[in-house]
Amino acid sequence: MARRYAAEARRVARVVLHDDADADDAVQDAFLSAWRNIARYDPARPFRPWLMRIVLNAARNVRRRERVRRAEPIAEAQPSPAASPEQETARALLRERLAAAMALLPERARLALMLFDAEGYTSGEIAEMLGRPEGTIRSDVFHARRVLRARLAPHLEDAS
Amino acid sequence: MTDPTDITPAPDRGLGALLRETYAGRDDAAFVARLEAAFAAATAAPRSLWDQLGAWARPGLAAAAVALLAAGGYLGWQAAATGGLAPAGGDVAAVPEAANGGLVLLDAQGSEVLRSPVAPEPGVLLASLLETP
Repeated sequence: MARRYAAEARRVARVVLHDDADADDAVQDAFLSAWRNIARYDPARPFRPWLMRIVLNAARNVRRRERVRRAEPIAEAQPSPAASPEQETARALLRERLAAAMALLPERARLALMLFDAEGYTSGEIAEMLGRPEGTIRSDVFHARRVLRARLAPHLEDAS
Repeated sequence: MTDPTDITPAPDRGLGALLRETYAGRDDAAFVARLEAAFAAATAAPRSLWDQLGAWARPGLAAAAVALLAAGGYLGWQAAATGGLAPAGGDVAAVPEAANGGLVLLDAQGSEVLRSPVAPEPGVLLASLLETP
């Protein structure tokens, strides 16, 4: 479970927490909680959304507990191996701008966008995870993309 | 990015990749090792008092049932051996004798009613219970 889902869980937790250490703590809490409560998992349903819902709850608990600082830019990213130094610099700048733009969005919209575009969940699965109607999730994705597009469009050419 | 005016879009692969880069945690392998260590620690953690009591309960109850059966049977056997007389008072406690595996019967005042160096055989005990008067 750890090997297969840790990377995704960390990304999702960071969308909520904006802080590496807090996000990792939340993921660890979540995985242990899932392991202890595996009897509550319904095998007839997909495992990944069940686990990610636990991760989201753990991230929110950590935020409540720690009162983490808000919306710091997230600087770390893995360089793409084939990119030139100029391209990589432009892409790093784009990531910074993306993180800053994401920080302007409400948490629900950030999560909806991340889960839909980056993690490949359906809007129905996200609706179940976040406890919102599916139409709301689609609307969140739509508005989040519009905000990001407006803020990032001038920089997309440089980084591609 | 795909056309954002589409309210039911397919996932935007370009934006998705950028989001994954942006929110990627550092050194996933080290983090997985940390998680596995946490799992191992949780597995090795001492059990709670209630867990331990729960584990003891089943064999404890079984032992108590055997002791009660032994005591009851022994009394029946003793009554049969002494012409069918039951111990006066009736409230006799059977206490296992740890030293040699025998049995001590105590009355309500704690006085020894009977001490047997050998535990009664189950077959004898059951026979005494099954015998009709």
